[in-house]
Amino acid sequence: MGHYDLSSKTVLVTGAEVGIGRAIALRALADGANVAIAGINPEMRDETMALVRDAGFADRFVALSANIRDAGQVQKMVDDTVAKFGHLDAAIANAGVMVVRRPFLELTHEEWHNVIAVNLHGTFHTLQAATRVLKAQGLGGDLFVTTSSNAVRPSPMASAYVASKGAIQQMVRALAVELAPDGIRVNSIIPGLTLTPGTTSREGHIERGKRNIPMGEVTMPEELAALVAFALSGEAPHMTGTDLKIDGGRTSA
Amino acid sequence: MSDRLAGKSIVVTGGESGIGRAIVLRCLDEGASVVIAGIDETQMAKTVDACKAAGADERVLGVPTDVTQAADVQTAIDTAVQQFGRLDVAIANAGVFCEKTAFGDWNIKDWERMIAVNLTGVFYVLHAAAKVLIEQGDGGNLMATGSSTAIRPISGHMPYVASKGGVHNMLRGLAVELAPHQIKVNTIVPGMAATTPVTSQQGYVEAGLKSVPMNEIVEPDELAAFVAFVLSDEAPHMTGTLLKVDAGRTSA
Repeated sequence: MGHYDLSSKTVLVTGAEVGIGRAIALRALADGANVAIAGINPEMRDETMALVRDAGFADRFVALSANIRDAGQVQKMVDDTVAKFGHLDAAIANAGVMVVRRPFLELTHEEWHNVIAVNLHGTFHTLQAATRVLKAQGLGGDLFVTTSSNAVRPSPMASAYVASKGAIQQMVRALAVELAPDGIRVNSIIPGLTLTPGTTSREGHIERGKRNIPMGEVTMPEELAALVAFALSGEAPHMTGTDLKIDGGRTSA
Repeated sequence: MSDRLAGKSIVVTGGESGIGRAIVLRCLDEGASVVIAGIDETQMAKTVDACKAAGADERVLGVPTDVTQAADVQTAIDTAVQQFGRLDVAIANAGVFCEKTAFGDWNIKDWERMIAVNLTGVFYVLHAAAKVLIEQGDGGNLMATGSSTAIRPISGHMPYVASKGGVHNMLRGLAVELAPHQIKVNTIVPGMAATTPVTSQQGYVEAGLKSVPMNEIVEPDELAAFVAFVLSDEAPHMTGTLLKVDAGRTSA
């Protein structure tokens, strides 16, 4: 069990069948929230569902299938969440893709469009559909976006990814200002190099990345999930436009 | 309340009032032992009494401290080590604000005083504490209270804005330098917070709120809750982060 009281809150997390999203979902469940996850990977989704069942949280949980590239699927994902739990308190636009390392001149237009379609358009779809519900409810709420320490300190050979994360980082800032009068807080989650299947499956990625981390260690998904639980707890009701950053000092160096 | 901070030994400068006081009460509430290092001895005695009334018993004491005096700061740190057996956390929170004054009207003495308290005072605290933490060899946490004005300056308060800018960048540098010792260094960034130096200035809050998207003042308890999260060890790789609660002020 966690430390924060999230009971009665309904939290939607995209890209939550694995990695940071899964950790956020499990922590929110442990702290008492209703949780809807959405993703595109059925095997990993089943694995997450099994974890949720084993932890005894199945009655407060729903797993949805949604590709965030498609605004229609995103709308359905939000509608299904509200239909299941009756309301929405928080949406965490976490789904995103990484890319193979590629020099700028070798980056194809197809790769560029693919990254932008998921990381930027997909995040936009998610935030817009969730904001519609939060504004209609009229009770405020929380939006989060998983960006990247690359939005602050770019890595080479990843220009499309870096551009997409920089864009959503700035979108968070803009929405924090625009939605403040509605009591909707908007914060970014900034992972440094984090231990997820996405990073560990890439040859040499962890070893290479660690060299730029002053603490010399990777961030664990559970750390970011704990920070999100704090932000959702209502203990800091005026926290908006804040970078929830856990990066072992990467962006400070 | 949980006991997430049980066994931790914490020094908070400027802990007798405002944001420092909120941090002290929250840390005690979660089980920590705290030295309040304050310059206002009357207010400090009141805060110590309030802590004891809330159940802190022997886990709290006040040490008269002027952060512009390195010897005072050393005594506060030494007291924590002697009383609680070790040091885990130092929070350089003591600082002064200033009346709105046009840049050309500032006198040199006021500038020097501001830098002595807000910047050199923070250096003394972190310097003395880091020595202990490095010697103990098992990590720890250093924090200082910065300001949203270090990111988005306000007019008429230049010495203050400059001092806080110095604090922010000093902590960023220390986050990198002390990382190999597993010492985490994070900056508390209040937006316009409900503390006496802010609320006592005629018209300051009304004027300031115009640039705050949520149009509300931040409560010290919110910053204290964020600090408690960081000290809880739930995020052991959080360093060089701005613990910012500013109702959107620096986003606009």
